[in-house]
Amino acid sequence: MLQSLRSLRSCCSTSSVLLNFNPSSSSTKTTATNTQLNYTTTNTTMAPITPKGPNEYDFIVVGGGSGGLAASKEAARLGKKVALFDYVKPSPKGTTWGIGGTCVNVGCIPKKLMHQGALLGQALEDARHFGWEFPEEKSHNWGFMVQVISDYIKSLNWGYRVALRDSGVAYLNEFAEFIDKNTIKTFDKKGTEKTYVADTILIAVGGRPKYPNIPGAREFGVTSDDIFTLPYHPGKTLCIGASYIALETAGFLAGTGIETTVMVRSILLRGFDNQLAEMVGEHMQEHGVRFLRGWVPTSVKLIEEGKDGIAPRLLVTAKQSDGDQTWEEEFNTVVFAIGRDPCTPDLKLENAGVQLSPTTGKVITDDADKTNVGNIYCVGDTAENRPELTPVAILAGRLLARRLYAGRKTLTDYDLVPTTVFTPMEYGCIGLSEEKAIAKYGKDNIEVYHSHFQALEHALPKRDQNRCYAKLLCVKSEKERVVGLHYFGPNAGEVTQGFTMGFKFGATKEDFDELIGVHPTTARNMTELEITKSSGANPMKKGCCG
Amino acid sequence: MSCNAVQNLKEEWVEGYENFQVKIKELVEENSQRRIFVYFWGNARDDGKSWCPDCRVFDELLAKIVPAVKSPGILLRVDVGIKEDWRTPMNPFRTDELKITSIPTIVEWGTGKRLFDSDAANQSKVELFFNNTSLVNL
Repeated sequence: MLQSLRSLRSCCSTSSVLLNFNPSSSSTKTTATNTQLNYTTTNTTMAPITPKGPNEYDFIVVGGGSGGLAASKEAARLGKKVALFDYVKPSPKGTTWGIGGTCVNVGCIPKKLMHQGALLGQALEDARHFGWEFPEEKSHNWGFMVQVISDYIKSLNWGYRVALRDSGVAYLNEFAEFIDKNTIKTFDKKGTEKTYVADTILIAVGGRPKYPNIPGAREFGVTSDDIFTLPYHPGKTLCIGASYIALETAGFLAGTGIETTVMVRSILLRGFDNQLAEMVGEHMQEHGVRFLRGWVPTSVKLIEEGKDGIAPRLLVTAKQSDGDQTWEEEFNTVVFAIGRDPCTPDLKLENAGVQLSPTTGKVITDDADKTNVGNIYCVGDTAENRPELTPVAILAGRLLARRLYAGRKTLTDYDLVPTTVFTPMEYGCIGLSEEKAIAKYGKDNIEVYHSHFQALEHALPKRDQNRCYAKLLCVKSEKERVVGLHYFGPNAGEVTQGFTMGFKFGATKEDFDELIGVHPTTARNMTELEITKSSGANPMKKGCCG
Repeated sequence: MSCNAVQNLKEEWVEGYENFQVKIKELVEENSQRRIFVYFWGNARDDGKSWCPDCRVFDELLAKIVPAVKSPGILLRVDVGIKEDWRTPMNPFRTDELKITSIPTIVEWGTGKRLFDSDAANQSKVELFFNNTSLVNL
């Protein structure tokens, strides 16, 4: 009995009934029977396909993150024999994690939870202004927050394992590299090698944080890979970088009472709207984050080792980006958030002939996410010129599986992707930045409607007065079609998601104006923008409802 | 329940919420290197089987799978009470942090792993639950 249990596991597909439906084809079919040892495909309009051997698959997915999980589950749902390989190489600090990829383990999920933790600290402050009474001192237990978040993530890892069992995807905790375009070689943590073959292969291995090429960076610095499970209180922290990762991290650290500094080489949030990026930075400064603008680190040195759950003491040296001045200061934790590299080097893609971008090292794909090699595809952060966002990877993975195995033709629309930066005051946007809109349509053809406003919730604590901001970028020659929406204020994620629907249907300024707002909300401001930048009028709000 | 002398998972029993609180603290202190599984089920009737039909199904799976588990550890059976006691919203197992909402529920203590409802009736998932020693890819 034990023997057959083992072979059930190794055959990888033990779900009971699969429904294969293919709405675009004329035959509507049917059930798949699952035998104990073999996996049969279910498309009965074709001649029966020879069942594949134990290491042969219809579809191999390398990378168990947002894109890989979505594609593999969808392909299995469509009746294919699918294997998913996920393996996390430890960070230089030794951090590693379970299935789910960056988002679940060291990205979106812990970030949003820690951001929420910080916001709750702010809420405690606000609460007094609403009549709550409690003792003066509040303090934050970093270790507790790390533990509970880590436990939650482990339950997510477990949930994915169970879901993969349900879906019939063979999950293998092995590191894969290419031997040729149909064959991969893998290593598990004991070093055992195996080989697998597939008709089609999807690369979805994501990326990892970059380190700068300066002494001490890898030995003494940490990255987003490590910060969420740091086994000691971070102490006085320096975040190096101007990315949303750097700013969000600095934001929640400062919000939990940690002395935080951000070192930036030049501009903030490159690629985002410059004006909003500066607003984000200013707000963070007003709320206690120190910014060092125009500096780059030159070394990280150890002053004293950390031990027994206490942070080390580090000396950071830096020089001006445009100048000769140098600087040094002591910190306990240094977080590098200067960008991410795709995990392509270790894949040995040259063995399959897959073309990479010479500048970024990412995989070049066409609109259908196909590489230059006909049976190899790539979605998610590893692909060139894609927004590095979980929902983009999920949709891309799912649609790819449908194009491959359900005869669908829908491509992923990589434009008009909504996103939100979860800094202490959040910034959400859809479409183009003002710079890109002007570059694309010409300055004379863009009308910018904007307004500052105050969230009602901030009125009593008297904070962030008139700090919130919204703007719509409209193309005059197209009946003021909105090509960029920018919102700076609380709950930016929720607000932005809602307005994405309007973008999908090419909403114009008039469409926005004809919306009846929900009151009292901050989102409502999007429906009431009157002042244009071109008029030069003051965009500060006076009353609340007028 | 027979206790196979060669079984790596040692079985223990406890009844009720207060006893469970005491017992789990003890077990955690004594077994820092070993795995602890906690199985919440319903009081055995006179015939030695649970009043809860889903628990009876789960017990059959346990009988097959537990003897083959390689890692040493404890399987703690926690009797949540007779049917009437379980079905009240104030049952302490429901209101406690653990939030056991249905039986059978089995958790691996300290890992976030939990199986209940239809998952607990699925042999493949129960095997995964016992044999998966680490949620971390290394």
